[in-house]
Amino acid sequence: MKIFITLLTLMLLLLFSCTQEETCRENKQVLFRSGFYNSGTGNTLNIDSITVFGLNNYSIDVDSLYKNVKNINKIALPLNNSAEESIFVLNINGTHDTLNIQYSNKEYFISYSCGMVITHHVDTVLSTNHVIKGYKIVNRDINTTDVQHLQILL
Amino acid sequence: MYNIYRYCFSLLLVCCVTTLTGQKVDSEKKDSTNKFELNSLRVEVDVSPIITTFLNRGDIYQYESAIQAEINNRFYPVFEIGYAGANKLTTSGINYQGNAIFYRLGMDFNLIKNQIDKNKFTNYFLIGARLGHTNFNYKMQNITFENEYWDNNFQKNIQGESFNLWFEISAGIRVEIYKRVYIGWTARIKNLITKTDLGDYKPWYIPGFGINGDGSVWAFNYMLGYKF
Repeated sequence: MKIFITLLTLMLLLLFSCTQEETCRENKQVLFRSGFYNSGTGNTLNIDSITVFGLNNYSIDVDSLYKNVKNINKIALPLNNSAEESIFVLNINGTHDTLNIQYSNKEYFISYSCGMVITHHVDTVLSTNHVIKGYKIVNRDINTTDVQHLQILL
Repeated sequence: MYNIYRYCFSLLLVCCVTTLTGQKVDSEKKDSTNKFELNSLRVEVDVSPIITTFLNRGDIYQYESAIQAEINNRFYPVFEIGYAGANKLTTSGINYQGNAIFYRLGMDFNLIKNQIDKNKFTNYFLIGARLGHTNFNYKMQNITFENEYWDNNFQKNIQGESFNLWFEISAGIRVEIYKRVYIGWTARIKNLITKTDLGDYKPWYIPGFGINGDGSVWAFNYMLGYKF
């Protein structure tokens, strides 16, 4: 009888220890991260005021990602998962420029607690040159890692 | 995590000692021969699903049986076969479904000397290893890809195929409670040999292995068997 009780107790202990609840502890945000730099010195540049919004396929502007944000030197933009091109309008200190990012998409499985995301690989970046004097792609792979992808030279 | 493993292992050892010292063991030396001798065959069924299915709220189910030979009173090759699966709504909203037959092949060694007297009950304290395999198809439904800013969230279903090999270290006891009828348990730690690349989708549950996480998996079987 002692044997039965010992075995049963041990079994229940081990079985209860195996049940687990899952929570997502990983970053799920996939953002295209750009920094502003002085085209002359190459140093980081703070923008006095910036407004950023995206243009969808029908050229209708959607909500602002940044609205009159002061004293900022980097921005993080979500790319369109359902397209291979995203266009953003940047109003830098009252002057508009557009930033056109062309990329390919790939499904990326994080975990069953976090789910899946779409990651991107940047092919081309185009921009108007009212305020923007140039740019440099520093990292073409856009995923959940917090790294800079584009340097915008002003 | 290491402390938990150490605690569980200590608990297992204590349990083995208390169980096995409950019966007297006569150690008689047997003539050692090099000839192949099949001493017995023990057929077992895992009865733990009676409780585990209830504990897992039906998300996971696993049924298995085993046949173990006793050769030269020393070697205990074992073949385990079972059917397992899962139907789980995960916290990210992915509905996972997959089931399959699985197999394990391995060898145990008995740490207790066998008794010659057939009128006395025999016990086993088995330590061994297994190689497990399963190949199956699974479904991942309602995978949501969120893109709030562009307002184009969408869902997708995926069907995948998974080939799996894993390695197990096991320990267990068997106690003869009636003539040729045995009960006992096997605790095992499992490590997956075949792994998926980072970012590739994979099954939530592997039949015979367990929940497909990042590290090792513990498992426990409560066996009821008959020796031929």
